[in-house]
Amino acid sequence: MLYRYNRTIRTPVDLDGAYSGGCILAGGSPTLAQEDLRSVEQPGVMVMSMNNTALTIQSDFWVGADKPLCYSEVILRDPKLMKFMMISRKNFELDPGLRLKDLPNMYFFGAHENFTVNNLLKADRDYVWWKNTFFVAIQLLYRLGFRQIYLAGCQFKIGVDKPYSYDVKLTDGEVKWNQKLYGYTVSQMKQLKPHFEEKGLQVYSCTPDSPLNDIYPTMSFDEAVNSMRLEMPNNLDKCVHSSFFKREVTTNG
Amino acid sequence: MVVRSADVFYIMSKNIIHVNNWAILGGMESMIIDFARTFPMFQHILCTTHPEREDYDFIEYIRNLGIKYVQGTVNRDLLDQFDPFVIFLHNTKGEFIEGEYPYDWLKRTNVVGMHHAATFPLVPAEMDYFVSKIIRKKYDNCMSRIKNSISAPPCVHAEDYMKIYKERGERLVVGRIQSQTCGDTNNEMMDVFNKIDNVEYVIVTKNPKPDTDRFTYLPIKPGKMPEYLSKIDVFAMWSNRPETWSRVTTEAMLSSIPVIVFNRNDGLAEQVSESNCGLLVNTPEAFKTAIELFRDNESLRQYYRNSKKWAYTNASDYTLKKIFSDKFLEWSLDAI
Repeated sequence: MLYRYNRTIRTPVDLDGAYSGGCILAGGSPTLAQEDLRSVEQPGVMVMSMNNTALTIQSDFWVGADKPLCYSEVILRDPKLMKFMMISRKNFELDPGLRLKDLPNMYFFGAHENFTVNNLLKADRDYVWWKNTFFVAIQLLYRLGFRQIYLAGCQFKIGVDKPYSYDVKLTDGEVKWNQKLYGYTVSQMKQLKPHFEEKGLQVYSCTPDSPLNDIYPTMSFDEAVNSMRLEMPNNLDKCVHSSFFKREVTTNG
Repeated sequence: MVVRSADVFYIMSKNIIHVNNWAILGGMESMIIDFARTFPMFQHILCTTHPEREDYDFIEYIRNLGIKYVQGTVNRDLLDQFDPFVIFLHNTKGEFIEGEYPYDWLKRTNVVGMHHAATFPLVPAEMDYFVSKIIRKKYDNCMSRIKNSISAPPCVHAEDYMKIYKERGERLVVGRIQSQTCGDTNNEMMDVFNKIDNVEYVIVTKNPKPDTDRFTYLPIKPGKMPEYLSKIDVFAMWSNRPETWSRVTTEAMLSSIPVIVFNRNDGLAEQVSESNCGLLVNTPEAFKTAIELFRDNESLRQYYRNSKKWAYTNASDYTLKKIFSDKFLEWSLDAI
């Protein structure tokens, strides 16, 4: 269940199944910046970005589960971006009197750890928290109605010099922590594959040199964009003025 | 004054807010659901005051019935956002209402105090609805502050239950059902049930166990009561505490099912006495004897099935319409 706040009132928002088709899930690996990121600006291409990756790629959705100070205010304050955060962060003050729950297009979710690799996609009030935003993003996309997830910038590797596609420096300890987390994530993704298949969720790895390439089908970033564009009409230049239809009615008697 | 039907329909298409404590399935929440079903011309909004988050199945259920749900206190934001025609305060404590008693700002809408239990302070209201005479009595010293009042049971949307009619099989089936908000099964009850031969049990509980030869366990789920009641011959209301009234007992009555109830001199005992819907007992031993009586005497079971008529007249959507239709019209005309 997702929530939004209207001053003092908490309202649940039902977005289950609001979308269909596919969506790119963009992670922060530097490889993401090497793709043709302008291509996602075309109609029909949907992108959910995790953490600060929304600074790299134009996104429709954003999810962050860490402390709000970890994230750029450019993301948090962007009204165009549909944002999802943990409900426990709702009262965090960005500025005096401006709390996260007051920000535009901001939705909150509750979380617990008690999901397993056999029920991650089951409908539940809350979302998973395995100390990793990635699995929350997978759940969110599934519940929003997407049935193809294209993993871009999800290399599950991290370097000290250029850890992410956006500018941030990590200490050696933080790099080590992330490496451990990535190893765990890949192992969970391997176990989740039968569950995804059972639930009709197709996951594609669109990241070069990702350990998931040995587990899930692969495709290039461009192919992922093109597959989302398949259902979109190409006749955008064929719009007519409403008087055209009046003429048609008259002609047809 | 000439009242145009358009004016009335304009007013009648407004919002009704039901304020209660928690967003989980219980008798109060079920009454709100049935109220919404009885008056579908309004948009009903459930507002729970406690900030704990809600039971997912319950919210999905009410959402599918078209009832909106929000969480918040009773404040100006709530009224600004929904501009309610009426606000029903179900056991709403003063701490969940903005400002100080007597909450004059609430006068911009019609307030109905719904008293499922004695909750103070008594919020000034156009009407106070007490679910039993026992609850009404607890407000005796507030008489001067009550404008209009009615003592009537929490009403059940009868349609789903009226068509239930179970013929008894070889073994008597005894049902024991409690909502999430009341007590669960206890060892004393299970000991008594186990001692009675030739009886099967349907136990609806928060924590279902694996079925045995004589015991079937079913989970508490919204909207499942008609299905559960259609499986049983006699309803055993083994309550663990005094009840102000029992909605499940009313549902059993509407389903032509006799009840056995512990006499705790409470609203439930009042319900059984007034409706003649079954047997009031004082001890676990008497409870056992009552089940055996129904097991061995089919005419007794048939006799107590007649409380259906009482339940329909006094505790159904029919009753709700009788109580509120005129009130709603009166308040509508006042607003024009």
